[in-house]
Amino acid sequence: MAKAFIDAKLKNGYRSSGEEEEIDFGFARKRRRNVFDLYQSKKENKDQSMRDENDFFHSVSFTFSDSDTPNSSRDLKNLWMVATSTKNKGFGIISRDQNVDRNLYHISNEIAFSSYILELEYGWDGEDAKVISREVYDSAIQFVRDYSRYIFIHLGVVIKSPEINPVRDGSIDLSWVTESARMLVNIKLYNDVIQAFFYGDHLNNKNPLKGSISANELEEALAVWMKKLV
Amino acid sequence: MDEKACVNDCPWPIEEILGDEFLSRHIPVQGSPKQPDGRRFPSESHFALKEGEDGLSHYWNRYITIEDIFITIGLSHRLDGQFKNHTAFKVFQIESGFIKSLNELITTEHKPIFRNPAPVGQPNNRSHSLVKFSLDETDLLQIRSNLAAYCVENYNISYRDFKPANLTARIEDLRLRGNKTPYHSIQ
Repeated sequence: MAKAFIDAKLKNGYRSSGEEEEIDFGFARKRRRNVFDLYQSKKENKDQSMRDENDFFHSVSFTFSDSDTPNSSRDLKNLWMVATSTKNKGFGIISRDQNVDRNLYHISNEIAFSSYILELEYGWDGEDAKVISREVYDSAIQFVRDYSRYIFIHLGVVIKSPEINPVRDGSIDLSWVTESARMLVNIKLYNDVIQAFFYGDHLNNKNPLKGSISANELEEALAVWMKKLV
Repeated sequence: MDEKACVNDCPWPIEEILGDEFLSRHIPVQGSPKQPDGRRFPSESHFALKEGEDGLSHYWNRYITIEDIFITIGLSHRLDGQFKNHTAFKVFQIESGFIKSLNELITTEHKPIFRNPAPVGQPNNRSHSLVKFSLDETDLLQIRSNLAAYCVENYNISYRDFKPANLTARIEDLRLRGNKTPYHSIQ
């Protein structure tokens, strides 16, 4: 048995029923995990500024059986980023091991909000939009998380949160628009590889930066440019 | 929109779309739950090409009213044969000259759709036009960014305010008539 401790944001007055709940973890792809132990810590332990009246932050522990135990650091690393309760739509995991800096909670909130994308069915746009694959979604979330953390930790800048939007061709857009710059990153399966195509400028098409990279790699030059997304 | 162009016995000439004319595009409001405040609409994602598309479909305002745009949507099929829900869209218009100014490789092409009679689910559309790109993936991102920014920054000009639910009874009646409607044949 193993336990993982994470922070969760429970929206809209969500309360645990105390019963087993099914959670779909990002790293587990489409498999379901049973949560045996779900409890809340005292709200007073959390930063008051991180809550509004309808949102509550809790520490949550998940106990896994041996066969279900995440067995790599990468699994645990991803734990915070995607988990959607199948029974309670308001449940979103926003951090792992309480290690996500509070300065990046706005990024985590957008990631939690974006989890609806995984529930979109064929024709979600009222026409013929394709389903967004788990693989593309996970890569998009990884991209947001990796770059926002890198820019914060290594460059000392907290960038704004992108809007994470589904695209009807089955890809995902990450869109930043700030007062001084904008960037659009499209994460898609391209020639059997998940690529990140990007375009950014300092508004009015000035000082453009464009190109493509593997969605799962961090390009320092791109991160440096993205410092302007504040 | 159906992409079958007007070829034989077409009653409508292909015309040049001038820079001061407006092209309208229907934008789905579905696809996300209740949006948090401050989210931009439309977004860049609404100007992406579908797989296999060679251009973004628009309605040329010169040849269609806002009411007929929603009726055309409501009489059109998705690929799975279901009628589209006309209330699931909003319509935004963009000046043709602005579109062409984005890149010298962008063209606006009048491409009316006509068959007589048109099959059920694929109504005729004299206004149908394509914004075509001969651009690579990253240039397309720039174009998408600029089209979305135009609609957001010029919202009062671009958004065509209309309540499509008011057309529901009429559209349901037209659907019951199959392709025996003015939208499927010239009568």
